[in-house]
Amino acid sequence: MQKLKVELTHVKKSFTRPVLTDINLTVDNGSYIAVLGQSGCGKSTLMNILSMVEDRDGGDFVFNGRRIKIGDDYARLRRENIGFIFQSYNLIPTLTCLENIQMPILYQKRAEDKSGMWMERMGIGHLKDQRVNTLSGGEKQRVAIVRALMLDPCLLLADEPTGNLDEDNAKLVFEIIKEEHEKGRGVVMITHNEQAARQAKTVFKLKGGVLHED
Amino acid sequence: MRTDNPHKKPLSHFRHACKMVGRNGRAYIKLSVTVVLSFTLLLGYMALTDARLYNRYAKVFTLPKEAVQCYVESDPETMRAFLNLIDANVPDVQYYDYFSSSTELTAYEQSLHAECFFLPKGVETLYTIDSSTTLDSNAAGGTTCGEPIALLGDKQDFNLQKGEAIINEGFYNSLIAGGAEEPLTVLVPFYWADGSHSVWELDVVGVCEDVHGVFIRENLEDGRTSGYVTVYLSQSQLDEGAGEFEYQKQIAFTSSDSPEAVMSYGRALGMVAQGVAEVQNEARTAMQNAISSKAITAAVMLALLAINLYSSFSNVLETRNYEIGIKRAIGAPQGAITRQFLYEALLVLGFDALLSMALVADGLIVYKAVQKYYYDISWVAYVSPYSIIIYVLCSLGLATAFSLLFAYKATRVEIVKHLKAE
Repeated sequence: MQKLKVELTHVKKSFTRPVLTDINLTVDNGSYIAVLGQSGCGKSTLMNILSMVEDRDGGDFVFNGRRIKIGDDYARLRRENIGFIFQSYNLIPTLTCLENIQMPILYQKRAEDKSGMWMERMGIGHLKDQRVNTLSGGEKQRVAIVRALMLDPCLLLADEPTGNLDEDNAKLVFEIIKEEHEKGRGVVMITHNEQAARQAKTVFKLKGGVLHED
Repeated sequence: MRTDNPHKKPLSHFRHACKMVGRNGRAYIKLSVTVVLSFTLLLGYMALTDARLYNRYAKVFTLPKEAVQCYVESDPETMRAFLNLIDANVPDVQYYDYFSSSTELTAYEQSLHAECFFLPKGVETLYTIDSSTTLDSNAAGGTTCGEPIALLGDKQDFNLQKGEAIINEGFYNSLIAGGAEEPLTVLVPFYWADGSHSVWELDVVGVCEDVHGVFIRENLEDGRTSGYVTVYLSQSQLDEGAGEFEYQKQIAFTSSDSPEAVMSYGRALGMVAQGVAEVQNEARTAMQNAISSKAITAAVMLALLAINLYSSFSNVLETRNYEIGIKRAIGAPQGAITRQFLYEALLVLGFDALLSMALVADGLIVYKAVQKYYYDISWVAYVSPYSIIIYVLCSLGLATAFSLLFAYKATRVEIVKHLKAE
């Protein structure tokens, strides 16, 4: 597993009002962090900044020794190091399960295709040629998880990964995330569910734009 | 279980683009309807303009530009003066002159008016004359000044002996339909100036094509046919009579390297002078004007198409924002997104351009068939290389420009905005 060291220092972000005012966070391979907070407190914004799909307004962001500049595009860094699991799965509806899962390796041709192995492990091998819009929520989330893991990322970001799932599927997802963490992947998970947060090693509460360790 | 990356194969992004075009077929079909319609209208307009010009003017450029015909009504002195003038002033001019007179063919049940042309010996080819120097009357299938009159059947020239005649095809068919049998003869009454008349029985030794102005039609009221026909006969036919007769037209056909000079001498004497060179110049001017108007029309149509394309591609992009957001979120580089949408746009527009060409080609074939089978006109489906170049450049240019714009706009999609939120 690739070494991971992410440092956010005094990061801030505003929209029509300040959302993040002074974020300080360090993530490494041993981190399993849950971020709690009420709706609208900025959890997803923090996740978007961590994954480099959204720019911060100020503060420092260093990813594995590389200073992340505001305004630049870091698609390659994101692709090679981060696996993102979304609450709403965000699968491309016109593609099959296998095509969705293999999407990351379209942009990383050096990578091997581990889709078969992962699909069997997740119990979705029989769904490979099905369009994703015919799947249940649990199946979709497993497809999304496999997609997130295809390039063997050192950091897993999970934004409310069980928000749309029933208890059994939620339990399965937490097991998978825990397993992947134990392999050495850093995990940052957003949730507003305290019970889900207890899965993590470290829990932060995001309040007033600042992270408070719980 | 690890396998080789299937996207390592060559052209993986192109193949992905092909797949995405297929998966988003509905959105692209809507766009394609607009594009195919516009491209087809543009190319169809240019093709029809080209074909119309070609069918109208192609014959003109096959005619000898040295040829000039001058004629005058019932004025042998003017004709003689003209011939003396060109003999003296136009080097290497060659000519023959003949005259016509009209008569009523009363020997037939039809009411036929015949224009009789008295030809000198040795005439091999006869050319048409027209009452106008403009090209307006020269619709497809018609004739123009200086066009050789085609002989049908075995007779190869207009060289006639006394007692022989060549008649036009319509007259010939009418005689056969009326029960006449080969070898045909025609009875031609001829009226001398002193009021006497002769009736000539002439052997029909040849049939020529119908030229402008001859026709035979059936009168629906009493069932009789009427019409105008042409009879070509030898000037030696007049040797039997010593009397004078009324000329209708005296015609001189000339061939020289100075057709403009011949025409100016004829017009100076008050004759009607028609030259192939003049007709060709008129044709060139008409074609130039047509090319200019074609270019302007093409420009306007392309501008409208460009506006339409911008709107159509924007609509397609709206439906793809989510997909782009996901791909960018999982790490697709901007270049890969650009490439994908560039390929998609080029594929769709390229296919549409080819489809338009096929539709226009089919349209031309159908039009040609209709012209042939319903109107018996041999219409040539012609598209000029100039039009093809304009079409290819314009469609390529539009396709490239809008593909690049589409691809650029795809990279401007905000990732977070288009991912599904909680």
